[in-house]
Amino acid sequence: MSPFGDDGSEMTPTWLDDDTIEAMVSGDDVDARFGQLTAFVHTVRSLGEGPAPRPSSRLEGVFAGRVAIAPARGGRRRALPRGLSTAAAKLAALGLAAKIGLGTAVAAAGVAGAGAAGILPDQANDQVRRGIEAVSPVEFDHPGDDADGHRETGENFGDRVSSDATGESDGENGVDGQQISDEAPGAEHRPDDPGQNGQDQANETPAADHRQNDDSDRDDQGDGTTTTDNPSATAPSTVPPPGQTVPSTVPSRGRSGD
Amino acid sequence: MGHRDRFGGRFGDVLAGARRGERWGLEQIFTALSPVVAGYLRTQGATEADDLTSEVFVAVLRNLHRFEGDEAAFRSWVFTIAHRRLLDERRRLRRRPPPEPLLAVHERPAPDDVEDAVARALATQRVRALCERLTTDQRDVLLLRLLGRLTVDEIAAALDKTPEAVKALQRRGFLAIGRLLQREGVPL
Repeated sequence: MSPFGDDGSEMTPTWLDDDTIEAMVSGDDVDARFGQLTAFVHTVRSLGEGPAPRPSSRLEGVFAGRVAIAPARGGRRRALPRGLSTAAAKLAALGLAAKIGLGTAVAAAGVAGAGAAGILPDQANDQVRRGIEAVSPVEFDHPGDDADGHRETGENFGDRVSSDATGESDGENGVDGQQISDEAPGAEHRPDDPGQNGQDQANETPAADHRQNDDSDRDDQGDGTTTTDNPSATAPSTVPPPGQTVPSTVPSRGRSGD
Repeated sequence: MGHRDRFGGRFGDVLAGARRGERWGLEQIFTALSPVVAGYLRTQGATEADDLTSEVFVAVLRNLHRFEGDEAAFRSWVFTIAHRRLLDERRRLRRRPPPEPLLAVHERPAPDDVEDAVARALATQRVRALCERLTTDQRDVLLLRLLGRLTVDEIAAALDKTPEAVKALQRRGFLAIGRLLQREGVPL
């Protein structure tokens, strides 16, 4: 079979065997009918015989030793502290399932910790805390729950009526305002006798004998007026006496000629 | 394959010196292989073939510690890196084509032998004109085979193909070149 077309004068190969190709590539002699292909091979080969191109400045840096030629494996990674590197090695040695399990546990612990610390949004916080309560003896206060631990939701809203409203708590319907909850702020500083005032308490102290007995400055009338005869003894007032100017940070323009 | 020896039989010494960071070893590797790498990249149509050649050898020299093997394996390794850099450049140019220059500026310094340089430039144009008529795979195989002087197995490894596929591409590529030369009478 001729390697060329049916027309023997065409000289166009219709197939090439691998041996002929290897001979051409290796520079060995081949049939003269492959002359053009052989010339092509030589021409292509010559394209790699020129001078070396000018190296770039970066490559010059490599030649001059300014650029590291053998970067350590991992390149820019920093070495872990010894304990961490040991833990990382152990983690790397775990199987895929163990890594997935460990990752889930770490994520759950992180969310639980954040929930316990109260840094999650209220809704998420509440759900996380209830989750912790379900699997541990720890209990949290839930802002939406009443004193009996009932939780008010959209479904049971309005089902229950306060004992204050029904009068069960003090025999009177509604809240009269006379009682202050023990949970209100400052409850621990509140006197046992609500009628006692600060003056009464001062009279019970060791320094009671030295206190000033002049009560004339006090507003005994209860109408906001004082009975003092000595204005200078009074506490500084924000209202200056008539005739005095008010110190100002704004310079007075009309007084420079006085 | 004596014509694959570009280190005068001292490849082991050169490699060892380069690995120690000695300048003569690093430069020897570049001097020996950069002309064929630049020729390969130029014939493949790289826009800045000389700069790309330098990039290839920066990668080669910085990763010498990873290489193990003889000169033939080293040459194959270098051309594998060169081919991948070429593909990187093509991808980059597809994303962001370079602006068209207002004037054709030849920044390369005048070579010592102008006649040879001109002849080589013309030959490069002719070979490129022929190779552009091939499929990409055929062109890659033929140029790695002829310029890189890689074996079929080495090309198969570099292009992630089977040796049989490389042989088929090589055969079809040569046949296509033969038909073009016959039909169009392109002088070489």
